[in-house]
Amino acid sequence: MAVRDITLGQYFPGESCIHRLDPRVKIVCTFVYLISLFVVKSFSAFLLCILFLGTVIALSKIPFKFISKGLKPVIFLIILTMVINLFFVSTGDVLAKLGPITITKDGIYRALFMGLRLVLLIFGSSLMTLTTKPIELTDGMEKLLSPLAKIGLPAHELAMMMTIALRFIPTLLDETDKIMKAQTARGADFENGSIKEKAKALIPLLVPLFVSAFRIAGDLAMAMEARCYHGGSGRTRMHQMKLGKGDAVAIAVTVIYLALVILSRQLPLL
Amino acid sequence: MQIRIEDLSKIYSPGLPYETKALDHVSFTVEAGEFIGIIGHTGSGKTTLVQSIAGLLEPSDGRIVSVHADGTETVISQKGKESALVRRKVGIVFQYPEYQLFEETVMKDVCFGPKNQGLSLEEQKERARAALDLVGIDADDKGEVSPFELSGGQKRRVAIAGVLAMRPEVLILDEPTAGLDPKGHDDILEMIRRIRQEMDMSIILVSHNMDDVAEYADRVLVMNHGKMVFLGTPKEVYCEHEEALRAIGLDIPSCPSFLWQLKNRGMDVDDNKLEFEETAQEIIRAVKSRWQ
Repeated sequence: MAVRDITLGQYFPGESCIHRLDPRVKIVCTFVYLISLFVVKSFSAFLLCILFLGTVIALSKIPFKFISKGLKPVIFLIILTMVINLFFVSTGDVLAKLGPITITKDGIYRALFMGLRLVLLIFGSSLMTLTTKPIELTDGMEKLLSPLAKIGLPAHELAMMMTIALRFIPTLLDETDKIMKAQTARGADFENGSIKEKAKALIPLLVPLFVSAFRIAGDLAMAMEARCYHGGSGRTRMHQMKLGKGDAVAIAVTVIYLALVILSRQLPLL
Repeated sequence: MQIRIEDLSKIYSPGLPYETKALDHVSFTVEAGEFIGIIGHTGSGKTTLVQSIAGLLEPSDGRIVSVHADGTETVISQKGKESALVRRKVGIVFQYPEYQLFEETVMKDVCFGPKNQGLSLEEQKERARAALDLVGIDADDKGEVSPFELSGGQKRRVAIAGVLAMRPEVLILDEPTAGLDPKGHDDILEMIRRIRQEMDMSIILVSHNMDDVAEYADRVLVMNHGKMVFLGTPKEVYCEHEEALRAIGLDIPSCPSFLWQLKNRGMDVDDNKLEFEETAQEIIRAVKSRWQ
């Protein structure tokens, strides 16, 4: 079992113009893109989204195969959504009927529509994490949220928590991998057997993993305290974020894109 | 059981920007009953190599064959029932093995391996007792204690016992002394020597401590950047390839290193000595000849 093969939320090193964008711009643009997917009403308008996403993917120089791997963990969810839509939409022309279940033209249309939307959602958001280092991402998030600190939102603490969580995903994955191997060497079987047996087989994995997680957390807290960490007030940053020309272009393109998508709702022919 | 490693290669994340070649065409044979030491830097491929031998990693290229006492061979680096059965004869103790303890009591934890082998409860217990005895833990005293209540050194012994209880024919130890104090370090190595004598098994010891490997191993395998650089008796490797080892950035065991420094300062000594006793004799000889 390969625990390392998870692309969702993974960084793909590169030097493209998308990689170099300011993280704040990337977060905002991704957000706009995600909203735009819910604004879209027709298949033809999805072409706009695909064009936008396709351009960004091409610019980022990340192999499409790598991005599509991000679908793997959620493929079940997508299929489930499609099946539910297929069977439970009962308006439109009936194509087939089996007991209480009817398959209608509208149902097929909705199923494909929702499936496409989900796929585009996942591609868009994984593209952001693939082109942005986790640290940049949380820094950007903190910067974006900082105005809200005035109304009592702990922006720095939230960002720090996210940084730590992201930082320890690979560590814990490694740890999981190691413990799994060690227990496999002792004859544990994580892959075969009934659901009950499989659940039971997880105990030799989960107990050491939790013990490790607590140990790591304790060590980290101690190390942070030893370096006088006391929250965000008065902290300066090593990397100051500055908006450049590329960022301006990215924002302009995204705004135009959003405008087009909204316009597409008004023009049913598009 | 003899294990033959044939042209083994392992590539991590092939086709990605962070593709790494962890093993690069490695071939050698572990004889039955032999004690092999594997040394090399962090990232030289030692761990990948031993995990492949234990069947935990699928090689990208090449294969691993076990040769049984009657001359029959089984390829262990492939899927399938027969391979899995033979793989069970290879036991591996990971780095910091104490982090894999999970059961409520020491006894239960050591029984985990034998239980998975499908042995009866009596047999499991008997094997666990024997294994605990081998690592120097009193089963009557500590058997019903939670493994998390033991000291660091004891935890590690219990974890090693967990692997020994499966009665492997080949035992792999990946840096078994990492993070121990000098006393615990020596105790563990002495224990390994004792285990080897009493259970008659081949041992593969991964380490970056030159002195340990020089003292305990029959043969030494030096790894660098995924390639096997040298293979031979400690004496052959350390004494004949001293300069090359230094170039890789590996230490020389303390005895030849000390003699080498004496030689560099103009004393007429032979620096091809590995053991403390012969080193002392050599220095005495050199001092005497200078006096005459």
